[in-house]
Amino acid sequence: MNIDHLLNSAASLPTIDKIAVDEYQSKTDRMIALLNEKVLEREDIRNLIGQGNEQMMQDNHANHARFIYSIMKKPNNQVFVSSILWMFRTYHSHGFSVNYWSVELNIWLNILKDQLSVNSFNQIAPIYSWMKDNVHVFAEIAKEQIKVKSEESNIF
Amino acid sequence: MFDVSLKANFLRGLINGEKKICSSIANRFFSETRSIITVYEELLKPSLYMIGDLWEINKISVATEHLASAITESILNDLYSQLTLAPQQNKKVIVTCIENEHHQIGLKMVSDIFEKEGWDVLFLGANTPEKSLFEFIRVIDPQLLAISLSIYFHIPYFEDLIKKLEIVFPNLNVMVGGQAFRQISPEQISNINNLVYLKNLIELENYLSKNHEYRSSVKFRSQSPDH
Repeated sequence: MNIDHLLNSAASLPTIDKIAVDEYQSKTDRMIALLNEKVLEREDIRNLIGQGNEQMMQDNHANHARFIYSIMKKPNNQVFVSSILWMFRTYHSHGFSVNYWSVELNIWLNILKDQLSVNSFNQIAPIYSWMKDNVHVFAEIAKEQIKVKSEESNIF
Repeated sequence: MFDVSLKANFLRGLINGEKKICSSIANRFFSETRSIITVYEELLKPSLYMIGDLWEINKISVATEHLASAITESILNDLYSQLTLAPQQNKKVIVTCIENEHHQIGLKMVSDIFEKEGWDVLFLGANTPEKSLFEFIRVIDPQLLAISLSIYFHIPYFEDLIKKLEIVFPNLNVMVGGQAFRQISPEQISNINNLVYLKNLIELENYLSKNHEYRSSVKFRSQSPDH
């Protein structure tokens, strides 16, 4: 599995109509609050995000929602895939486990189902399912990229 | 153009908080090239990108990242004092980041190039609220508005802002650049009237070297209920 695989499969994701995008945006704050609550109440939180990373995780949730809104409004698979890889590199390097992404995306899907209209959920859910299904692909590619970047930075 | 080991020393200086070493290297490069753009594009910009990369892979902390930014801003101030400024052109530019954008070093570099070319620069810096920006444009009536955008997911907000600006100030020329546009092609933002995308400071200097005509943006504006 490589970046081309991700780009090709992302290309089959549906375009989201304006009503669904607007609904997602209008409910973003509430959905982020619910997400934070659900993740923080988990007993395995330390194993998922590492020690002292609660604020970083909450920043990620807020950034994630703004990012997904941008991508739905202005689809760009290159940006979509490269930004998710950036997130995997950054958060993995700071102590987040691969399992965190699966847990987070599962909770997102439940929240979307509860908070959005059926029509909006049916359009947006495939994006989240695609991210969830590819967590391990992203994680593997990100690990390779971290290795390369670490080697490059060793000259300093 | 610059010696690779000196660039590495510069980056190491930023990470270790060695301001004197960094200043000395930047000044040396400026003395050799007499080109502020070369120093910005070939020394400062790649070093800051590398600082971002090092934070990304957890080789440096947020505190170190802030330290590196502070040293870079201080170097910009030092270099500015050595610039030879062109005669005043009686042209005004407002230079700003949009709301929620907090990265302003690139914007400072842009400001310096405008000043070098004889423009009056109104530097609003990071995170300028939209309402304040509109009021300021009304008061200043600039020939140009220059906007920096670092974060990709701010692009939808930026496009909304541009559409509102077009309604309220239809003659206002807007210039945009920044890291956010490294990820999308210029064609994706070029369908907006009076908007110029510039990839780097070299393109900015080339743009300013041409004699563009600027009309008053305020005098011919239409009204918007929002602003």
